[in-house]
Amino acid sequence: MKFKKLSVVMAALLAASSLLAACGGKNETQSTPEAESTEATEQEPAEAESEDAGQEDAASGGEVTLELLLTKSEIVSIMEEIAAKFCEENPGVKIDVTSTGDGATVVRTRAASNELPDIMNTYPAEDFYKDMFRDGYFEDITDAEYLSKVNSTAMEMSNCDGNYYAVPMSLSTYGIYANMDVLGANGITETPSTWEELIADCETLKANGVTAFLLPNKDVGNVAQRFERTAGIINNDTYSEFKKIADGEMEAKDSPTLQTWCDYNEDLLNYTADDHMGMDYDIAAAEFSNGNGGFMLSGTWMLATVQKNNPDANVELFAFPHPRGETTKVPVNIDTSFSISSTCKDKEIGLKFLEFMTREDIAQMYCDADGNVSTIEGVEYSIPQHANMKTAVDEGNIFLTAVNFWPTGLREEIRDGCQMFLGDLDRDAFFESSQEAIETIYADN
Amino acid sequence: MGEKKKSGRSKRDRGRNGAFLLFTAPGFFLYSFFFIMPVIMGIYYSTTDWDGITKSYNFIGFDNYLKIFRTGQFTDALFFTIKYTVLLVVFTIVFGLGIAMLLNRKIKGRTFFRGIYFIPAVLSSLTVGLIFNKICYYIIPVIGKFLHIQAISQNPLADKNLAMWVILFVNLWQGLCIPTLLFLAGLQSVPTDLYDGAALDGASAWDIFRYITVPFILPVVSVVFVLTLKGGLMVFDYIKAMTEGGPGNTTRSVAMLIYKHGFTQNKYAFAIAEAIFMGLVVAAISAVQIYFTDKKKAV
Amino acid sequence: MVEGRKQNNVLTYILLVLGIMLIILPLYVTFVTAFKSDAQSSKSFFTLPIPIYLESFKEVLTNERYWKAFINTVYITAIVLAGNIIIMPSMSYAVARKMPTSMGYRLVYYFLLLGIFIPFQVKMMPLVKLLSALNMMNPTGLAILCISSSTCESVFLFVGYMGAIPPDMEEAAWIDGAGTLRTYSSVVFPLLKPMLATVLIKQGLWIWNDFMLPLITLNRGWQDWTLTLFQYNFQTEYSINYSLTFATFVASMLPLLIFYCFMQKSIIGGLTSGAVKS
Repeated sequence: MKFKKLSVVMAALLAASSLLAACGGKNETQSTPEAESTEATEQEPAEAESEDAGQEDAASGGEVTLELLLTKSEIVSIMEEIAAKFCEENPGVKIDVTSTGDGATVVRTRAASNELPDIMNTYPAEDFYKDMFRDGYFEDITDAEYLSKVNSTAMEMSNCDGNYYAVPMSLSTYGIYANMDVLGANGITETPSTWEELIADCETLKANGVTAFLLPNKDVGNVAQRFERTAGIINNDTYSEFKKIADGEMEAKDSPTLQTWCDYNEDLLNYTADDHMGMDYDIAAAEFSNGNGGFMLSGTWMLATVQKNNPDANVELFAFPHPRGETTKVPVNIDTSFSISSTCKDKEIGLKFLEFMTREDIAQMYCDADGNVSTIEGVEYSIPQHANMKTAVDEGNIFLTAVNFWPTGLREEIRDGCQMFLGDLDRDAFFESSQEAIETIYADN
Repeated sequence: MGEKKKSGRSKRDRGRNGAFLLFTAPGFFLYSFFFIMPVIMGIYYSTTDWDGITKSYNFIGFDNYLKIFRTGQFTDALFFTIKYTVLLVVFTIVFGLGIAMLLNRKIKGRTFFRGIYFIPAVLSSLTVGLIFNKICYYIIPVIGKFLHIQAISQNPLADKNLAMWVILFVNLWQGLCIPTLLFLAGLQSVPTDLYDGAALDGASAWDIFRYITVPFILPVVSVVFVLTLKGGLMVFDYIKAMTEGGPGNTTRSVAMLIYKHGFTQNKYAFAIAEAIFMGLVVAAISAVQIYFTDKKKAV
Repeated sequence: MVEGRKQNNVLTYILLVLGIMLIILPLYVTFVTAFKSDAQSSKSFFTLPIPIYLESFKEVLTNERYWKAFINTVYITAIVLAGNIIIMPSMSYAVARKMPTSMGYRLVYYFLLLGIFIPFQVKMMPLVKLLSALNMMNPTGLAILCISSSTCESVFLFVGYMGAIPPDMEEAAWIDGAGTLRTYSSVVFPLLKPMLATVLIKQGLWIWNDFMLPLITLNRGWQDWTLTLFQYNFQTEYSINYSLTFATFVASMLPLLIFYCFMQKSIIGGLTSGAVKS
């Protein structure tokens, strides 16, 4: 009986929906003003014309809605605030902030359908985005005046064949976070500056029954990142070293970088939580923030998470000391940068938004919330937790992190072996899997 | 030619043919257009070097297919997937049937029990995976330590020997529901007088099961088999939510491998080639299965 | 005899209750965690939420995105189920009856079966291109896509079921002068109902809970999100907050749980009324 009723309802719904489907095209154009303008820009790909289309839209609809897609969840709230401010200053403009947890899939499908969001955060130093830049998915902003306000190192990093497609907002630096309250409670007042000091501090913490070093080894993405960043610290030019392995001039087991990576992890694993292999990054970050761990390897982006977890956490980021005692440089990467797509519904407003982001007060606002080192001129970087990192950047004691040079996919290929090693400390297996990973990926690229 | 009768029949058939064509057309069209056409496009991409983003790509023939076995990854993933699927199918049929028989007994609160046992089916597999991921970290170790069981006093998902079993458990936790109900339906199609007769004849419980229950539910078993087979061979959500294929690559299914190659390493065309190859393997297995069940039916 | 049966029933109860505990425990933890603050949870995950903490749940339920996602999900599911009701049984009827004599229909059947074995990834990116070219990257488009994708499995189930229904009754209807359409609607369709229930429940649950298809087609803004997308995106944003994370779990499964509570009898009844008869 109930079933019958249900089917009647369904049938009615279908009748309605088939009507919608029948007049497919019509329905689509009627539905939203957005769809209309997308069509307009698609039909007229030439820049000037589509700008006209955008203005027409603005004139007729009275309002333009641009989509701002964020693939970094931790900056959503601050970007919502900034977008609101932008809309306030630009009446008739609406910015819709969307975010996704699966950026890789979303950006790819949006690109495939030629419907990239109007504005989005990109990673201009990565091959994935460079390919898209070259293919014309994003607006070339080389001539934009406000780019002169961006730090030259950052500009260099986001250069793509002599052109620019993104405004880099911040640089992330990578190192070791120390929870100063935990260290202080155990009589340690300063962050260590050599590997020996670090191990000595870990020893102290361990003796006092404190988890010294948090290593979220279940999170294979985090394992991959740790490998990539620290391998880069051990040898700033891992590309050449691994190339030798790929070319058969060296075997993985003889690679100094891989050996050192194993050594230092063997050291650190003595001081980590028992369940490190079962720990995800978010859990480790929470434990660290709440004082259940002394050190954790991470980058400047983690500060926002730490403060969200525990506003009173007293943490400090310091450089990862070279495990073999050589000089240490800090790996940096472009953290957030914004681009506008070539299918942007209103490029003028899109460009205006990029300019807005580089305005001193806005960049300051962003920097304060984001925690990464700002690349915008005039922004005061006064985050005490990251003072060490600022010094490194100012002194030029930095290098662009390895992933930007490695052949595409190496990080994802090698990470399984890394994770296995962290679990079973089997060096031979690790070298074997690294050998295969390096050979395969270098052969592909 | 037996004019009259035949002409009536063929007239009916002609009328029927038109209607049947009409019945088949919409589904056939939708399926061809939104299912087969993308698949054909996919097959075409598998012969190129497309990375999934660039606007241009080159035709490279069957190179991607030749590369599938260049490393042991695909074989490893395939073996994992097959092992996982066999276990999933066996457990689904055994436990599904077992629970269905329990739920089919004339006991008080039968409707209540049936209601509860279906609840996991209404949840999304991703949510289920995420919930169990948290449970494995926060709760299982507490239980393990309390009971002094070494193996589960840490996150079992981190243990390369246990991780697959946890995923399998979670998959069954949710995946048993529908098969159980299908079995329950099958059990109710067994005429009760057959049971009563057998009981009077003094048949043992096993004999009753073997000679009365099994023949009646065989068609259900075959449906459950195909659906579970598909679920097992394509397993992705649970693994993505719980281990991402780890530790190392110990729980990496073919679907996870395809995801890794296509979406984290930008080897999209290569990933499709792997997916197509996987499809062929599955089709071969299923063809064998269908051949045998058809044979059985014919007997 | 009587005694033996009683003992067995005790065993039955024990086993069933054990099973229920396995089913309920994770759900219990999910629910209580959603209604406890993080501080409460970190003390123990098993205790009841006393005092009850409603902030997380309120935060989810007062989010307009949640309600929009809910409406989208209902909309998509309804269209897909309606499409399944109209298209699949009639198509399966034609295929099942013509298959023995017509090579063409046999080919159609195998052509459909093929779909069951094609991994999703093969068609994923082409699908995106196709849908966007047709301007179908929206809930309605997704619903049509889902109907198409459900064809193979639905037809497989219906045809298998049809095979067990002897054509006698249709013959009788024909002799009584009913046309094919009448025969179908008054004789065949009612006979297919038990299987229809199974198919609808299976497809309905799939659509409601699917993640991958919405992720690739409905990622142009929260206005299009389904509940799974809402839950996923919301949860990645607040992954460090268990209370909020579990509250989104609860919120995204609640509608279906409530629906199930009300419809439980017809759902279980529909499924067990002989979904598969030999």
